[in-house]
Amino acid sequence: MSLKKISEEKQNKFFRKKDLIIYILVAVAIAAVFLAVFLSEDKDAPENIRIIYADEVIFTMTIGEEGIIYSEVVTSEKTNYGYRVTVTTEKGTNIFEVNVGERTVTVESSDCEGGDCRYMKISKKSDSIICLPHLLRVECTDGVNRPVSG
Amino acid sequence: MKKFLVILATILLSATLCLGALVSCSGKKGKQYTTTAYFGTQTVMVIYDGSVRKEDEEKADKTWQEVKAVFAEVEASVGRENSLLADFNALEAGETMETDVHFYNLLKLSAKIYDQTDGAFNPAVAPLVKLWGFLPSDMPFARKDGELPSQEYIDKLLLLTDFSEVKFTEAEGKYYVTKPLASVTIEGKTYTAELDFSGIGKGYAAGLAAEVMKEAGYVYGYVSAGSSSLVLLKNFSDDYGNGDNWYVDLVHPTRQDIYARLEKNSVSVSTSGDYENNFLYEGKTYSHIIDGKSGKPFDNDMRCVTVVCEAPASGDAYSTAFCVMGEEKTSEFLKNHPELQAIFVTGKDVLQVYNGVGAVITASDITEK
Repeated sequence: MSLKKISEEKQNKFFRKKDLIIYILVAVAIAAVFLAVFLSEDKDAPENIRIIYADEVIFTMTIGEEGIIYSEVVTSEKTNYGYRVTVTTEKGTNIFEVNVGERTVTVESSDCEGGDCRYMKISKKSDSIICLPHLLRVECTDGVNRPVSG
Repeated sequence: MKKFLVILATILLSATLCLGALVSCSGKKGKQYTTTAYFGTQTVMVIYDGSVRKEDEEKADKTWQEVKAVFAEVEASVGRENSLLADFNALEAGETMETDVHFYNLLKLSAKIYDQTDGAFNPAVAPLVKLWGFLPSDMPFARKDGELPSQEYIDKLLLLTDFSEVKFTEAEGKYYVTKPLASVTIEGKTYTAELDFSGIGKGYAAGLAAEVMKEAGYVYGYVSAGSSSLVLLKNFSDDYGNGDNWYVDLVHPTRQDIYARLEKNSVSVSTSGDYENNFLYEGKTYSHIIDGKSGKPFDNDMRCVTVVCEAPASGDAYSTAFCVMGEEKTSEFLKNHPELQAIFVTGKDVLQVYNGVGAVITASDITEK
């Protein structure tokens, strides 16, 4: 082997400057792809919800799909933004809006005394909507609900 | 070839590091189980053990089955229907029956708290709870909508509510309970003493369930029977609390919003009040919590009481008792019981915070006394 060849072989190492730059660029590109996927998903957005009346589950829904009705007190209709779910019991009427695009659940109206449930909203998995006079609770079934007392 | 291997190694290493970073950033996810099969309310068990292995999923499922078995056992003992308690309530005056360890334990604890609270906690008010229409009954004179029960019936049924006359014994591993001798005849029918453990039973069951979880090795999680009986282990995620402490939201009795937040772990949180089971008559709210001395729903400024302590069954009973006792007597009682912490909302929306319960007030118009 000539000296020139030996010299070329010695230079043919893993970490020539040019190669190192390529390795770094590849690693950065992979990291960027993962980051883009990770940041684009809202991992805390609710996916599955249920409505409970007097401690009985009366409705469940995977947001984006038709819900499942377990009681005649519930009706559900498709709307431009998602679904309108109406619960009418002997206690009163609550209308919930499920917004599929925003992945939220809000109270469109309620005839309960006080009406403060109207200001509650589900926008993450640990949220819930409680209407005590109507014995209603709306919660996510994806993760864990924070403990509530009262 | 060498370069190809290095590039491949770089790709694999980067991917592994990114995946590891994503998993660690995704937060700690507990597992939640629920059922509405017991005590007419929702039972919730939440656990976290930091693992996603299949055998740990199986362990979690097995623990849930054991927790449900505990609730079923307690309900078969002291639930309202198809239970040992229902059998006791159907006995003649003075009769004795064999019962089980749960019934016995609840009798023993109830007797202690009955004495401590001078009768404010009293499981023997069941006939009056029926008279006021909060329990189903065959009393033809039970309250109907739009009226109040007559004082004559209240006075007669009060004769059946002396809990100290309920006798219970344990001998050679067996448990016995004897019905009081008292009886009254109203409109040709004889009524005897009856018990109702709804003011203590759920807390007792939740306490046993928490022991099952701990014996299974769980350190993080909670178990609740409805929203009135909650037993906390430790918190596992900043999404749900602060360090080891869970955030426990307290729901206002009339406004239904969150008025305060506790930060607690390894304790029980029990709440009672006049807001869930009641009726309105001529502008006044009548609650299902009966004062054993007057024979009527408690009548004071208390709207709801939350008790924090280490013993779930006791916390459940005390929260009921404090509603009956009212603000002043409860304050005096708490001075002699530093093991109990309490927070209560009175009719004037004033918060009473005792023995360092450490609540964070979240409603701007609630004042702390």
